[in-house]
Amino acid sequence: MKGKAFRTFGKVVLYGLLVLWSMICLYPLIWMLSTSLKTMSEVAKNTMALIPEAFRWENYVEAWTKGNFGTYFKNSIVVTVTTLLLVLWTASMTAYAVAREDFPGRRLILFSLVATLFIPAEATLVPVFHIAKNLGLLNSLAGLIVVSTAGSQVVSIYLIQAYFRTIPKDLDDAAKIDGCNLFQTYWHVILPLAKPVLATVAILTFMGTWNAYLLPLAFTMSKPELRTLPVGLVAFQSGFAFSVNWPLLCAGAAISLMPIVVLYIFLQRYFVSGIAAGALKG
Amino acid sequence: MKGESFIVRLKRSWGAYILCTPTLMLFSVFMIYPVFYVIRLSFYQWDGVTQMKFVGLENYIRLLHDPIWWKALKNTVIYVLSKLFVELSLALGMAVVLNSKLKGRKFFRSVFFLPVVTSTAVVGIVFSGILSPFDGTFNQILTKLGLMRSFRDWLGDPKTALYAIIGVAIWHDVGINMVFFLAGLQSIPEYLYDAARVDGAGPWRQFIYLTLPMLRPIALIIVMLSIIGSFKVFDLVNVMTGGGPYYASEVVTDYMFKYGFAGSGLGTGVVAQQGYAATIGIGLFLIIAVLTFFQLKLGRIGE
Repeated sequence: MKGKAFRTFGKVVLYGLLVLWSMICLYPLIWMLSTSLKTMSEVAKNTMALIPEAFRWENYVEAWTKGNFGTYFKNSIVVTVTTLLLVLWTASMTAYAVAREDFPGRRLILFSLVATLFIPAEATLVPVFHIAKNLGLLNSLAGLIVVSTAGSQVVSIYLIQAYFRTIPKDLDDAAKIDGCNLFQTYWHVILPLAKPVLATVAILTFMGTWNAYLLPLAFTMSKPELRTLPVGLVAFQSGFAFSVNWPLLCAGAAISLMPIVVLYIFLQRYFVSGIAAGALKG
Repeated sequence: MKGESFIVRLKRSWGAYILCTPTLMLFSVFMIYPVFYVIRLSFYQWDGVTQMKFVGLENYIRLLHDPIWWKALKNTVIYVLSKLFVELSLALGMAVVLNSKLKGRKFFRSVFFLPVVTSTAVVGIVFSGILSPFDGTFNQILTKLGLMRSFRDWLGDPKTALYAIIGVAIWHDVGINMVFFLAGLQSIPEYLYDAARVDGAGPWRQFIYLTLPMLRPIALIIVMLSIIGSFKVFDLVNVMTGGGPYYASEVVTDYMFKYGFAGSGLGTGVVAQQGYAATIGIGLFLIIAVLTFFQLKLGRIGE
């Protein structure tokens, strides 16, 4: 019976550790939500209490209007959604060409795509900044969208073209016999079949763009009204000279985090498999 | 089709070229051209506004003699190694436990993965509140548990700033590595374990002699991704300490942007010198390139 007691003990310890790490994972988010509903004086009196004395939803209204998080939210949505659509469109077209057509220069394109995987985007940000400036793209959401789209190409093309290769080539031939040209085949035949991989790419791009900090920071430095949520939040924090207004700051943080967390809760399976595929295959 | 002349193939392929055009335009302007630009820039002195001045190898010589660059590199290496050993062993442990038929494993998996989807910049701010020196929750919990007598200024103390950032980074990234390891574990066929059991191997020996060797190929990829990703760390450092206090938590990318975007919100405490920023960027690139090369070689030796 000794063995059984030992095993039960081991199981208790194991569950203890799992619950502990779950709490560590969730605590910062719960702390953020509870602080966002407190008053300043309540935070000073007792930061530990996870349930606020009274739920001050006004903090969110104040952050949204006076803290400009409404503007930042709108910017984040515009940048993320447009980038997402542009990435899906451009990457799937190129992926179709390299997966289906044999044309001079195909290998060169594939090679340069892979080569840039080893160049850290951070290292080339200063030149990208100047190029965008010369093209008149700096200090505009359009510039941010274009550069974000460029940055998401490689992994997206790689994932989509790998998927296209699994679709039988007979379909293209059949479409051709039915009178479809290259573009019609791509649009009407192949794209509808590639929905799973397009969903993966969409999630990866959404997450990358929504959470991005460095690029939007560099692109909106002299235009505060163009900031996205993460950039706006950091600027909001540096704006407090003496004591940080944690309730408002946490309300801003919650506005920034909640959309993606909610999306994750509902689309969990796709998030996990998509991110894993993006990193491991890309 | 063979024997077709180049021109004919070129003509026949016009559709493919049209499909590739948007990507190629974006790619050449924002990915390829900047590489040559950054190499050229590294031989110049430039504040980003006035005339560029050619200085030859001066930026490279300066880099080799810059104590703060070495400090930033040392901190980055500490960050990389801590993440490598602490985070990956944690992730492997979690993956092994959650790969078994444990009750509630799905719940734990999704909770452990949750931090991965959050923005590091936003999370950095939230954690700087939790770690705040006077009434921060972290201080209060540690003192209440009796692990610490007096409050600490985790992010303001040169001794702890870097490690506080590493802690938050591990919180954020351990979940993704757990998922990678889970993918690896699930690719090991069940019959191998049956065979091991028949041979009388207990769980521990199964892990050492079966699981670990079978995980090797995916583990090499995970290690490579972790190293490359960690070398590029920026968001957390910039948001939580800005590299301070006194460069105690400075890392390579943050140091680079201080020169690259001096005078703006990003750069503080230095004179703008974009040529020098470019040189730091090339330093970062070379380190990553060499590491990747060795990783690939190492992977091949094992095969």
